[in-house]
Amino acid sequence: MSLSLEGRLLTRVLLLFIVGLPWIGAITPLLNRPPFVPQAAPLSTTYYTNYLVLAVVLCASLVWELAYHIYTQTRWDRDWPSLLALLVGVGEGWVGWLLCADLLGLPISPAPYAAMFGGLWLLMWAIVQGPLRVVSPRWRFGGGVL
Amino acid sequence: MIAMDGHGMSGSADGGTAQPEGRCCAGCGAPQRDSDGWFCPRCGAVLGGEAAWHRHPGLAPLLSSPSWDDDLVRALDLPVTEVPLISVGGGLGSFALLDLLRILGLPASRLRALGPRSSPIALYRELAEASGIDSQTRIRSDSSSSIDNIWGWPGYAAREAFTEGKLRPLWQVLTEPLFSEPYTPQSGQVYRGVAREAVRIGWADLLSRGWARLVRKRREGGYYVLQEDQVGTLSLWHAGHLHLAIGHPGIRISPALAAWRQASADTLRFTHVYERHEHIYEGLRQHGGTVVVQGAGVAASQEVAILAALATRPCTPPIRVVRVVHPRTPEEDLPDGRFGVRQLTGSGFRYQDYSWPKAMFGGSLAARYARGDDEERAALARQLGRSSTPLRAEWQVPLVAGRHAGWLQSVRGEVSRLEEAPQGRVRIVVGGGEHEITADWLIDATGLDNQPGLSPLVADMLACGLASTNARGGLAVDDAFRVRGAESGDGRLYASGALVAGGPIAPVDSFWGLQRAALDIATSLAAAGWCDELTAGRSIRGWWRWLGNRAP
Repeated sequence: MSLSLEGRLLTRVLLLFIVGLPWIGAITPLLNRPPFVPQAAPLSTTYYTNYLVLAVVLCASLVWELAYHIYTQTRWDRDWPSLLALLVGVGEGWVGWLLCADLLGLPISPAPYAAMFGGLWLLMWAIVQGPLRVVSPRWRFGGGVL
Repeated sequence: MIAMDGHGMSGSADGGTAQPEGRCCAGCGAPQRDSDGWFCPRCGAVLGGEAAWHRHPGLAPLLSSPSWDDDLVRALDLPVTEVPLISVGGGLGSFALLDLLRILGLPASRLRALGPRSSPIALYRELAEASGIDSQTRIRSDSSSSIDNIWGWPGYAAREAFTEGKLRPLWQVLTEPLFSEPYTPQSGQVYRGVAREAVRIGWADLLSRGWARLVRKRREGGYYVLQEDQVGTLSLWHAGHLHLAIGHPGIRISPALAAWRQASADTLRFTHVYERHEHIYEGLRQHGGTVVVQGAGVAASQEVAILAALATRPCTPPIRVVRVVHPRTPEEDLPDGRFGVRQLTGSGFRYQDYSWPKAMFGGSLAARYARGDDEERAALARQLGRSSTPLRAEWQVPLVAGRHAGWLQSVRGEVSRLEEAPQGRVRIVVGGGEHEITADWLIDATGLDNQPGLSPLVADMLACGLASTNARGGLAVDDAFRVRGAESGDGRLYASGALVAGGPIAPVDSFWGLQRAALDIATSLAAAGWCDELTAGRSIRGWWRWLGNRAP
């Protein structure tokens, strides 16, 4: 997989909106119950928190993509291997947790966060590996620019 | 340099029925005939016949004019067929464009491909088989660069995993290039995919067999193409828009070797890797001997792998292989990353998975390349586009063993001279005489040539001012692959493939490059209102029909 900086940023923002919004919409009711949380909170509050988490992840992801772009520039062929694109989700998820729970103090538990972020990450990675190319054939020819 | 595109081979006027008199190359044996017509048994090139159009009395006065009007054409008394878009070449470049236009909903009646071969992948296959790539051999292409599938998904790896019930291809694409060698498809899989897609889009109805001999602007708009078919019958096509995709115009042979080939009566000792050379393998099996392979690209590596398999067979007479590879590459020419992480090299080879660094296929290097002007693109292409070979374990293991056993040697330089040696052998001088090798055979594996002027069709277009060249020597096109200065009324002349080296993308002759050009051309045509845009909805519908193998 080979992306330009512009393509990276556009792809990430697009996926977080198109995939992230419905994903959180669908999974929040499932995560707002045991065993993910000891006691269910009002659903509106949980939705509010989870969408705030998505906003934080979106902002952080722009910085992450810049970092990944800089990393690819250290490779002579400027490649961005698919496996790396999958594994960096671990680091992003961990830093996202620190930002949301520790720095901003959002009321979210580790288990729902892990399920929400992990699921979203896997979904976005899988979409980039194939379905996105069907929706926009130009994506893979333009370095991620749709 | 030898022309091979089938658009300029010399031979008899009635090329389809009588044996052509000419030869496509100095090493050509007696022409043979198959379902595609006469072809050279050495290099596989189709011999077109010395063109009936040369003898047409009305054409000679028109040759110097870059544009013809309808009255002049009527006076020629040739049948004229009007088609909104014609692609000249009939190979994979034509296939990529017409495939996409069919997906966009254009009926076959509005499109035509002109070419000498019945299958769009026939020439590719001929060259591959001549260089020892059989249908089981893996080619140098990634999983998603599937020429029969504009979406690239499912790629070749997923299809192989599905049809053969194996997980390994999927594991390879997941972990490449960090923990496994990059996945590459078998050539047979590529052939089957193209054959399936050709049937799906109705290639047989799109194709008109024969050679495009001349292209001219039509004064009233559009273009005229003069075609000569397999039996020498001339016809004219009137195209609203025209697309040129004739592939590599020739095979590359260094000047010293070309001189030897022209002067030598016995040319069996020297062959090009893209010419059939089973006689060398047979000679090695029977008598052993010394083979010199010049070149540091993937074709040379493939050739040496075949020779290594012969050399290590039990009971084979002694075989010695000498590789002649580039002089040492200056370090400053190597592509590098920040902090000086450079490309892997060794023994005169540049190791990379594909013909260009990965980011030239749409990534940050492609963006940098696209931003440059002609000169900057040419400079970057010179640095990043030099011969390279993938580092494959199945190739490296026997080579390491061969070096230890002494049957494989490498020398650096270029073959500068060939001389007769005793016992019918040939003395090969490398560089200024640093190395002299007495060998039985020499195989030149320095690649294909992309100088447009090697094609008589394009040379004529350049001569009459219909096209020009860029700083890298390719046909000058703009960022939508339109040939610069070749508009004719509302008509546009496009070109893609090896012809447009130095154009808007670097890997012009890769599967990816042909499809990228097709997308850009279709976008340009859509902007002119000629066809629909490839919207998300149309793309999804098109993909679904492709998946179900239903006509677009």
